[in-house]
Parts: sequence; C-alpha cells; structure tokens
Amino acid sequence: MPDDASRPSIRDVRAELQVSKWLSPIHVLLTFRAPTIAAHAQPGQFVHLRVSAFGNSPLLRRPFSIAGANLADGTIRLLVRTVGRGTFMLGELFPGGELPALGPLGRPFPEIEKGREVVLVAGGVGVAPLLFYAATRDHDTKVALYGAEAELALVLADELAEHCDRTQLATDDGSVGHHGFVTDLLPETLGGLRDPVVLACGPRPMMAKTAAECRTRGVPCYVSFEAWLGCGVGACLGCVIPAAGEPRAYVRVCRDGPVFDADEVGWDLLR
Amino acid sequence: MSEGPVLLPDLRTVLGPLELRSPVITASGTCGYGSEYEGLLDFSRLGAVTVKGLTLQPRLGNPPPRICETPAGMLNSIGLENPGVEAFIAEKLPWLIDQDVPVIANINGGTVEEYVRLAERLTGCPGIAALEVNISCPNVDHGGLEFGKDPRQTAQVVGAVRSATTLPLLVKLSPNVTSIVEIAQAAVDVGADILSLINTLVGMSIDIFSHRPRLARGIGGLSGPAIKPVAVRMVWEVHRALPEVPLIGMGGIMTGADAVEFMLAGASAVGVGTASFVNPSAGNDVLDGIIEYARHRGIERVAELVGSVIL
Ligand SMILES: Cc1cc2nc3c(=O)[nH]c(=O)nc-3n(C[C@H](O)[C@H](O)[C@H](O)COP(=O)(O)OP(=O)(O)OC[C@H]3O[C@@H](n4cnc5c(N)ncnc54)[C@H](O)[C@@H]3O)c2cc1C
Ligand SMILES: Cc1cc2nc3c(=O)[nH]c(=O)nc-3n(C[C@H](O)[C@H](O)[C@H](O)COP(=O)(O)O)c2cc1C
Repeated sequence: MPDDASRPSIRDVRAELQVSKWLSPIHVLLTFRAPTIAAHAQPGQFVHLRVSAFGNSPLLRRPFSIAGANLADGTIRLLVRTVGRGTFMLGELFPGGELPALGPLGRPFPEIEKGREVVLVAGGVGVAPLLFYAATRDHDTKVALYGAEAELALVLADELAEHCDRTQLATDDGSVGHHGFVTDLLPETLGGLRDPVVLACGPRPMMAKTAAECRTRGVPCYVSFEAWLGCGVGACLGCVIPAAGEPRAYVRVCRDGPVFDADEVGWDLLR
Repeated sequence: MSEGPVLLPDLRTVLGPLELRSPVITASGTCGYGSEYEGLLDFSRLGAVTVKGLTLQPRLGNPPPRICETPAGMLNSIGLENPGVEAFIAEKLPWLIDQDVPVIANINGGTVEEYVRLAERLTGCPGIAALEVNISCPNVDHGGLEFGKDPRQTAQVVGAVRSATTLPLLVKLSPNVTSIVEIAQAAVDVGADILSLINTLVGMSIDIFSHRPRLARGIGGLSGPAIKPVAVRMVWEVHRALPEVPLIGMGGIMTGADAVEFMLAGASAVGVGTASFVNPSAGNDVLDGIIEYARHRGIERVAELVGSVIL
C-alpha cells in the first residue's frame, strides 16, 4: 500500500484554540490556529490531538478528522462529539488555550475526476471529513446523504447542503428527513446517477452497508474508518483492521487509512 | 561532581561491550522501524533504536481491538505483528542505517531453535549493533513470557543465543515474575551482557456495558506512567543484586526527570516507550531533560548518576 505523499509536512505543533462553538448539547465545533497543518491538510486526513497539555490523564492523544482548513488565516476546524473524558475536556477548552496537535496525518480521500458524480454518505460526526471534501473538491455533481439519531444531531447540515447539489437527511427518530438509516437512501440515489463514486464516513455498520450496496452495483466506494489509535503514525500497530483477501493481513487505520478503498477492507472479519 | 555550571554534560554511555553516544534508547515496539517517526524525531541524538519485535516468519499479530487506555497507562496486545526478519533486513533496516544510529534487534521465538536462528541471521548483518532477547512478551501463546518466567528456561534460551552470536547481548526481562533478580541472575550467568527492564505488566480491562474485555485477546500488557514505580523498584532490586551488570531501565518514562529517577535506581541507560505515542519527539525531549538536570546540578558525566540513590 502506498504511503501518503504528504508525510514530510507532518508537524507536531501547538495549536491555539480560537473559537469554540456548541452546535448541539453534545457537538462542539473548534477552530484552531495551526498554519502548517492548514496548509497541507487534505480531506480525509486527521490531527492527533493531546487534549491536555499537561499530565497523564488522559494519556493518549485523540484523533479528529479535519473538517475544514482556511489557508488565509491558518486555521483548521474540528467537529467534536463529546463521548468521554477527552472530548469533554476539549469542549471545555477556552479560546487562547494551546494543545499539541500532530498532523496532517493519514491517507486522504483519493483524487476523483471532476466529471464523475460524487455521493457523500455521512453518519453522525462522520460528516466532518466529508464537509471538508465538499467544500474543497469540485465535481459536476455532488450529492450528500446525511443521517443521525435526531434532527438535533444533524449538525452543519446546512453547510453541507450549500456545497452540494442535493442533500438528503435521515434520522433514527424521524424528526427530520427519512425516518430510518441513511443507507436506506442509497439505492435510489445511486440508481439515478450515471457514473458515481461513493465516499462514506460513519459508524462501521453504516459503512459496511454502504460498501455492500456499492459492491453489488459495481460502484467505487471509499470509507473512512475510526479505531482506537496509539501513536497515530503507524508505529504501534494498535489501530489495525482486517484487510481483504489472502494471505490474511491487517492494515493500520492511522497510516494506511483512515480512508480505504472499500475493496481493501476485510468486512466479514470486522468485529 | 563539580561546582558551577556545566555547558554540556558528557552523555557517553557504556553498557559493557555496547558504547552509546547518549543514554536514551527507544523501547521495542514503540518506535516501529524508525521511519514512522521520520521528521518528528532526531535519530542522531538517540543512543540507539530498538526495533519492533522480530520473528523468523512474518507474524499476523492478534485480532483488534489491540489497545485501550487505562488510568495513566495503556494496555496492548499487538501480538508481535512484524514482517519477519528477512523483510526487516531488506526493507526496514536500510532506512535506519541512513540515520546513523545504532540498531538493537529485538528477537522473539516460539522455541529455543527459533531464537538461535534469528541470532545467527542478524549477527554480522550490517547496521545491527546488538541483540535484545525478548523473553517477556505477554501477548503470544507460545514462547515469549513462558521463557522469561522460569530461570532454567531463561538460561536455556539466553545460553543458546550467546553461543550463536558475537554481538552485545541484551535480555529483556518481565515484571510478571516472583523474583526478577532470580531471572536476571540466570540470564547473566549464561552470558547476557546487558539487561533491559521492564516489559509490560499483564493486565485486563472490561467494558461494563458490553461485559466484554476491551481487548479482543482479553488480556494485554500495561505500559506508561502507571507502571513507573514498579519499574523503578525492579531496576533498583536488580542493580543492588548485580551491581556490575549494565541495565537499561524503562517503564513509564515521559520526561528527563523520570529518566534520572531510573538512573539513580541503577539504570545506565533508559528506554522511552509509550511516551513516543503521546509525544513523538519524546526520545529527544527526555535527553534534553537529562541534560538540563545535569547542567543545573553541575554534573559533568551523566554516568555519575547511575545507582546513586541514597538510602
Ligand atoms: C481517524 C479518526 C478520525 C476521527 N474523527 C472524529 C471527528 O471528526 N469527530 C469526533 O467527534 N470524533 C472523531 N473520531 C473519534 C474520536 O477520536 C473519539 O471519539 C475520541 O477519541 C474519544 O475520546 P474520549 O476521551 O472522549 O472518549 P473515551 O473516554 O476514551 O471513550 C468514551 C467512549 O467512546 C468509546 N470510544 C472512544 N474512542 C473510540 C474509538 N476510537 N472507537 C470506538 N469507540 C471509541 C469508548 O469505548 C467509550 O465507550 C475519530 C477517530 C479516528 C480514528
Ligand atoms: C504497543 C507496544 C508494543 C510493544 N512491543 C514490544 C516488542 O515487540 N518487544 C518488546 O520487547 N517489548 C515491547 N513492548 C514493551 C516496551 O518496549 C516497554 O518495555 C514497555 O512498554 C514499558 O515501557 P513504557 O512504559 O515506556 O512503554 C511494547 C510496548 C507497547 C506499548
């Protein structure tokens, strides 16, 4: 598997929080000043953030997809869903606070010809890298399918819609859009397109379903994975997922991914 | 010790037959094969790089999840995933040779025979400065810790490797034993030049909502600051029993201050492990911390610190 070409530009910098904005009771959008990361970031890449500059609690860094980069002011945006101690601490950080940020890391979404239709399938906070993609990559047609538990959790849906030609929402509780899974929307969407490519990020079952649907239709599909990361640079081998094919092998989410061609993933072995 | 400021303390570190330019070494399994940290770590300032555990054949490793965080530490059950010694020599070693840093090969076998064949293959291999016999991996079903728990088996493996190599020989000790001094003695008696300690402590963590262990394998090895006091104590015990034997102390070293603590306990060099995950330049920053301490205290040679704890 080829290494990401951007490696020499990886830096461990002190990123200063500029703006912290709560978008829902559990989602916070953070804008950090990190010029070297902003300058090199590509959609699908992530930063490995130390959530506290001091002490050992929590110990390991936490990975977050880059949800946007602004070259003019050298900032990056992270969309954080608060699920545990590290993300709660991030939500409480005050502007002016600095955290060590390593990045940009990982393999980004591939280059896709402008003429092909791109379908972005987002599950929950998985919208983060797809927002960056939608905002920076040009295609004749961009379609977004975005699902979450409830309307309240469909954060930044308006922004996503601005960058896409068509956006369809889905919620588990039916509070807005389709009542059910976002993947329910996939067959009809793909059926209406000529030569689409699918990019997906969200919970594993969502990505598995998306990949399966694409495979039956012969549609190329790229998925962005989450896993527990240690080092973030490919050294510790902690974050692996099974690769497709024989002989059996694992691939590293942090370095070989987080974006994988769905055909590279050993879906039946995922737990 | 001298009075007054010291500009740059002498960092040279003598570990029996292995002479290093600095006392800070990367711990096996935490710095990959080096290239993963390209641009983030200055290898020329390290005493040595210890590479991820090698086996004769490529090894798949354990199913994920393989790591989880615990208070001030982490559990891992990587299971010695590695491309095998041949691929290491052909594909990974050349990059390290270019960095001008001594390379310590960490070797792992399921049988004594496998350890011997690894030692034979790596001896005389350009760029390899020393061998570290890992008899303390808690994450494999065969070999590993089985050898490191029993002094007779330790002697068997280490003695056999000793006969197979002229390279400086390190033995990596496990804390998961009743008496680490007994194992240390057994290794030294059959020709170990240097002892590395400690490897990880066997631990477990359970997700109370799913009722499942958080690692797929169930158990794993605990590392990071949580284990530091245990590691310091073990270094001290081994140093007290075997004061002539050079020790590489490791376990939870995050800063220069942590490293100095190990040196006072009796370590001549230190290994930086989990810290590299938190701070990719930890290997350099720990050295800077040692230098800072030595300058502040007017210490001309960092080797003076070794074993100088006052009881
Ligand atoms: C490449 C990548 C990109 C990511 N991008 C984003 C993003 O843009 N926005 C965002 O909000 N999150 C993202 N994540 C997930 C995020 O890193 C975790 O939610 C975060 O590390 C949790 O830290 P915590 O200390 O709050 O949770 P902890 O206290 O460590 O855990 C809280 C709960 O979440 C579970 N959990 C934590 N981390 C993970 C994980 N990685 N996989 C599965 N379960 C987990 C734990 O089991 C526990 O139940 C990304 C992860 C990866 C690997
Ligand atoms: C992810 C991981 C992988 C490791 N792999 C190896 C290995 O292959 N061989 C070995 O001898 N020790 C291995 N170790 C143990 C470390 O080298 C070190 O002894 C231990 O982690 C304690 O130091 P630390 O607390 O600074 O990490 C590994 C540790 C970790 C965290």
